[in-house]
Amino acid sequence: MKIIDGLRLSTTKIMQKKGGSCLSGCIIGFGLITLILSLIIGKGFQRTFKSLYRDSLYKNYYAQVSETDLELFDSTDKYKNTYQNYGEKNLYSEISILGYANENTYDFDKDYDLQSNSTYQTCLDGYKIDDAEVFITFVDEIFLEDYLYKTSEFDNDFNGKIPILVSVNSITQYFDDPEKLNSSSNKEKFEYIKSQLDKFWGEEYKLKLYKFKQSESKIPVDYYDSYDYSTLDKDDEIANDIEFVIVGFYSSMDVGSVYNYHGEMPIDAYVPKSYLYGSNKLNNFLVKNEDNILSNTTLVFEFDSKKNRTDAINDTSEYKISKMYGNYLFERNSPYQMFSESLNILQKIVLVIGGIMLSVAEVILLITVSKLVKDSTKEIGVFRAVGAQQKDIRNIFFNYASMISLAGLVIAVVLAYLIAITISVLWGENLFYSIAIGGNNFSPNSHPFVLVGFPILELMIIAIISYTLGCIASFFPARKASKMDVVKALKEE
Amino acid sequence: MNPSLVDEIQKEVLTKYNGDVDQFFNDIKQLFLTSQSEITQNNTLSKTKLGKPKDEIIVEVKNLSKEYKIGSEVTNALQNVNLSIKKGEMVAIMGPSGSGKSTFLNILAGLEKPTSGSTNVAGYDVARLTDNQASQFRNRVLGFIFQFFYLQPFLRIRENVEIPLFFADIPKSKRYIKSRKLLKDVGLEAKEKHLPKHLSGGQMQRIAIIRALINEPQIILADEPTGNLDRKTGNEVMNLLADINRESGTTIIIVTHDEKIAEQAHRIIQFEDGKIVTK
Repeated sequence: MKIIDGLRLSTTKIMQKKGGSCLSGCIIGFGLITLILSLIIGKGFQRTFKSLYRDSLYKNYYAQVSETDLELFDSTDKYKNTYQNYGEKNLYSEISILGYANENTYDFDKDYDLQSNSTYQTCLDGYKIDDAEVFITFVDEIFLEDYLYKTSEFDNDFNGKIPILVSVNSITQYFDDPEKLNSSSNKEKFEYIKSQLDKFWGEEYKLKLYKFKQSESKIPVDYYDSYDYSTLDKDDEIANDIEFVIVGFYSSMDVGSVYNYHGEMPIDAYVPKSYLYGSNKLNNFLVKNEDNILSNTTLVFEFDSKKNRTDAINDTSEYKISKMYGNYLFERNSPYQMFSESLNILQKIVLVIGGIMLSVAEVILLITVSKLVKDSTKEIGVFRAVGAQQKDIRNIFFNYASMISLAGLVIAVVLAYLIAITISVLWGENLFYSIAIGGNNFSPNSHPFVLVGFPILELMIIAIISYTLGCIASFFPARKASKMDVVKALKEE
Repeated sequence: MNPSLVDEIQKEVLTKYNGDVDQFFNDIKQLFLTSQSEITQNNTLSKTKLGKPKDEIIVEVKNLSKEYKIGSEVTNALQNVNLSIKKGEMVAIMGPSGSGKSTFLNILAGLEKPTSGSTNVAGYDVARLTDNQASQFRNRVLGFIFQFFYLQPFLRIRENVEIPLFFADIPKSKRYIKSRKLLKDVGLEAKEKHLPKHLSGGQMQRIAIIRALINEPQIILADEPTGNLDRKTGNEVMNLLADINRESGTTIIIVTHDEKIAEQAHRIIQFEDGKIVTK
């Protein structure tokens, strides 16, 4: 029997069992809706997230960001667990060194309200990057990040350059007496940190501000040594040559790291990939001068969660510049990953609920097909008498179940899109920020929150699963129908 | 006699016949004779309308037996049945219920396996066919006509006619040509897009007959084809079968309880207790 003829005969079964067919189709539809809805919205979330991230990059880093770059955000899972190695305290409230403060303008004992933009302004006022190599701040980096990303004063504060932000925790392990960091006075803390930095790094400490001349084919290592940064300002002749500042910006949201172990003690500066993406010129420079960088500097971009840092640093083989993407970045828990994890958990919950509903639906389909087979006994007998083979009879009921399953899928897709669009229009923004942790660190969104995606592949997989379940549900009834005793079937009243 | 009927007749005689009882009875007699004449005419099916059987044997059954075991009890549905049917012959099988005629028909169609004996139908050793082979055999060699028509209620008339061709993988275009011709032959081409519920019993049986014919079978097995029809429609159906027999030379085996129907066949085979008692 040709497929089309089989389908035609199967449609008569739908007519014969309108109620049961509709019920089965609708319940399958409802079972699938939860799954499809989560996929559609999940896809929409991901797209919106990317779009926001991209927007953020464009706005704040003055550079073109290619799709290839953006792909990196979700490309590597191998650093997924790294974040945990740094402990929870790094999450939001770690004290960071943003640079030496100018004591004349910064009151270390003042209790600044760090959540106020005006306070940020006050905190950062006077700490021009031209005036200090490293800023030390006690500002929660999340808020600082917010400030840096969003404020229109960005250019003024940092003279168009990007500040270094060094985690205290990353270096205090090398301090003589880390207990002193528990001092109640911010000023005392600061003085102690400064003294430790001076002691360990000495003149090398100046290297924390990396300066490159793009025109130089070789990184002028001795350039650092000979220059007294304390006199550096933007009018300085050398300062004018500064093309780039490598930045570190540490927060729970950052995505990369930079090690410099030029001195005795490594300096960890956490570099959000976004900064480096923004600094395309820098990237290009690094790529061009790869050999020089490797031989003449100790600038290494690496992150290996499997080793502790000291071991990693001593093992030079671990320090290599990745060429994979033409830059020197390694993934850590990016906002996108964190968001994806949240989304995955939600989707797993939905998967379980949808799976249960789908199972119930398939049981109902099984019952419907069984009833249909029973009610079609005479017809099966007639078909067999006029030449239908067992497979023909089986196919009629298989097709029936498949059509019901696919009808359920169509219902589910249509309704899921309608629901997704409604949710997106009414509650898109709130929902996004409640699920996409960290999403609010991005610049204000200029796009509507259209949380509707087109997960074509996933829908195809669901269609196959739905079809398969339909076949499974109809397998035994269809088999029973095909094996039916024709004589008894013809005698059936 | 029913007193109210007597009153009614009296009233009729008084009002319409003005008390002329003789005239009244004459008219009644005339009416009765006319009806009888029509009934007789409708019941008459000339044997000359059948085709002439050929010498070639198309069905040959030898020592056919069929036993059913229900628990320890054995029932002999057929016992050493021997029968030959010629090509182009119309055979009526009669017998009381449980005499084995339906079992015989089922074995001929490959729907049941005999306990012993051989069954050769159109060159096929039916008893030895596998399930799929038996299906194909029924599809290509046989045509089935049932007492209750068994048209598919949700398929249109033309599709109902084409059902055997569905299972023979015949393309739609060819099916259409065949079904249209047959529908035209039985005068139901205008109904091709209707559903069976819109047809009368006679029309439904005609559709069932052309459904049995659509694959151009060598043999038609008709199980009580007129059992669900009134006399007049039954005769029409029998005429149609006779036409088929005569024009296409198709062998027709009819199972029936109706002697008048059976008398229209070339031969009547009487079953009793699983045996053939009259050929």
